[in-house]
Amino acid sequence: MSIIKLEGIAKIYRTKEVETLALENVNLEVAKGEFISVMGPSGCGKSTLLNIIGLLDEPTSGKVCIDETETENMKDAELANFRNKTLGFVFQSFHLVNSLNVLDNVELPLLYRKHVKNRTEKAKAVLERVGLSHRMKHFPSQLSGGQCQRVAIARALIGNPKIILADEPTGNLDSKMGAEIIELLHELNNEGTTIVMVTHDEHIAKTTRRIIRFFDGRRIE
Amino acid sequence: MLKQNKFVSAISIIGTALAIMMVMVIIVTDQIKTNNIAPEINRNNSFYLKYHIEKSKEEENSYSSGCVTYNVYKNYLSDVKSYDMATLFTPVWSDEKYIIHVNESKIRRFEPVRLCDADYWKVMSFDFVEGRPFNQIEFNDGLNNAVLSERLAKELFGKESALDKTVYIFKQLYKVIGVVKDVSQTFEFAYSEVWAPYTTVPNFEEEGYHAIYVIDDKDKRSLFYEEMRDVERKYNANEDWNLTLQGPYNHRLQMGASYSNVKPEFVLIILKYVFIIAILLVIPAINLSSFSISAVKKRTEEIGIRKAFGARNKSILLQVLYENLFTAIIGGFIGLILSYFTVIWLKEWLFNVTTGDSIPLVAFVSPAVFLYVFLVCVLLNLISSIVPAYKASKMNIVLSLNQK
Ligand SMILES: Nc1ncnc2c1ncn2[C@@H]1O[C@H](COP(=O)(O)OP(=O)(O)OP(=O)(O)O)[C@@H](O)[C@H]1O
Ligand SMILES: [Mg+2]
Repeated sequence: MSIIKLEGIAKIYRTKEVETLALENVNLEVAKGEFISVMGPSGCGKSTLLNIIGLLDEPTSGKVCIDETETENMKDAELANFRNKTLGFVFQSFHLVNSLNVLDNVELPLLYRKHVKNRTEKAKAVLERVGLSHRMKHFPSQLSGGQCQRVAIARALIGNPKIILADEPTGNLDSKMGAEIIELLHELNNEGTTIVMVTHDEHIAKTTRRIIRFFDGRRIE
Repeated sequence: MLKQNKFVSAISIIGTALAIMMVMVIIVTDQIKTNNIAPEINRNNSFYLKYHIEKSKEEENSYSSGCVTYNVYKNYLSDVKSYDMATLFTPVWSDEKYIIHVNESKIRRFEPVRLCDADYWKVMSFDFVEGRPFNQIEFNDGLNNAVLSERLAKELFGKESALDKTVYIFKQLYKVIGVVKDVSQTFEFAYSEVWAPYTTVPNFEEEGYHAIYVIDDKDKRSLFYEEMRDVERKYNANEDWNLTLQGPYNHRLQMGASYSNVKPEFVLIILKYVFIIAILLVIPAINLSSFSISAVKKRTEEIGIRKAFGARNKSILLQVLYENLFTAIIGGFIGLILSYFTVIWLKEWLFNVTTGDSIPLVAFVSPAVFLYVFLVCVLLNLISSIVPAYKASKMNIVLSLNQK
């Protein structure tokens, strides 16, 4: 049974002047526990695809089914709850909250969950996991890019999501730090988390079991 | 917690403080005028009969209006029975002061004097520095006893005790039997510098009076009003004039009845307050909302992050409101403190009092005032940030994430 199922997805961005067809009739199934790479030239719709899978954006048409749940008619509160429980995000530009320290950034997803005990302990545990337990009181501006991305991974991890969506997680890092991040993602995948990652790096893509390629909004492989 | 830009927070706190200050000046002024504050501790249960109008039965447009006459009090109001306490006393006219002096040769001064009955001291609650008020027997006998304010007693007798000293009030000799703590002029019915029994004045039947009836039991009040209407009927049957009592009014209404021939409108009084407060809140709220819009814009990315990780629109909305409320409340309490100084500064204008008069501080630190500050803060916050907060909560996640 696939954990992600896209059927006939299209996404059209409409602005006053132009209409951009970012995705066109995309079908995709990802099985539970898979680690797949999404590749393609800039502007082909990779981020758009990931945002749609992550329920951050709605497709113009088509069906999105995540963890065997139809998402089409979900209301804001349900969507938020679903994102919180099932999905974890890692972005190219980290998207950490600059005014919060590392620990608070990592705890953030748990703030939107009811009845969570020992938030701080849980945050410390995942920070330990990504090797940053000595930087808990630091602020994002005091960390290197690689460290920021590890904080972001810890934040994606803390809620035990079934799926992690990573949009160019190594895009802002040098190859050594990038390799560490990919290593971490592989560890998570080995523990059963399904991962969909966008990358421009063929080497990195090759480390994953499956690569899908896009061109001009269409899936070509 | 979303952290706001310090400058923006400072500006909005100052803005809030000024807005709250203006509103609190109005509310506190109103509190001072309407709450049970010693000596006027029975305001909430009091019914005031300050004036009445007499219309000629013969001539269409001939009428007289003014304070309650002794005739009306003695022969007609005596039929009224449904009350717990009542007092009759004269107003203190600022332009008609009495000459007070210790003996023929020494200091002479013009001071306001209030003539009153013995129950006046029960309806009001004065703080006696020394001595006591006059009692019913002394009042009935017309004994020349007087109560002085602390200030006047000091000026007349220096450091010596004023008790049992004698003073001339106008041309009669009175014995000082009590000295009370000074009373602010904000108390229309309690304020004076000298209090004396009206029975000691030769022509007291020609004086104009005010009457206060204290009724604790709410059920008694309608009966009380009926008795008042009976008073009018009986008067009209017996006398050449038709009597219309101006009231009795409760405390708030009587404040509006500053002219003897004008009937106060309760709804209008309240509407006036609501209107003024609304204007005073809406204008700063519109200004503040532009600050909260810019503060929200600066945090667009953060809002996107929170939503991506599970914040509902509602949590974002509440968070923005809650955080703005925080600054609003800080501003609110600064505003309350500022309002204190403003009231002190503007007291002559706000209360019609003379310089040097003190303002009862209790009016600023009561739980009711804190509740008002809080409510006004919440209101101001709601008006100023509901729109930005709503917009922030509805923003598209991807767009907010990628906004720099
Ligand atoms: N909010 C938007 N409004 C209008 N057009 C958009 C918007 N977001 C994306 N697009 C357009 O949709 C297309 C796909 O964009 P997307 O960001 O998915 O590309 P991408 O494959 O992630 O590119 P990159 O590798 O550079 O990140 C692009 O042509 C882009 O210009
Ligand atoms: Mg992209």
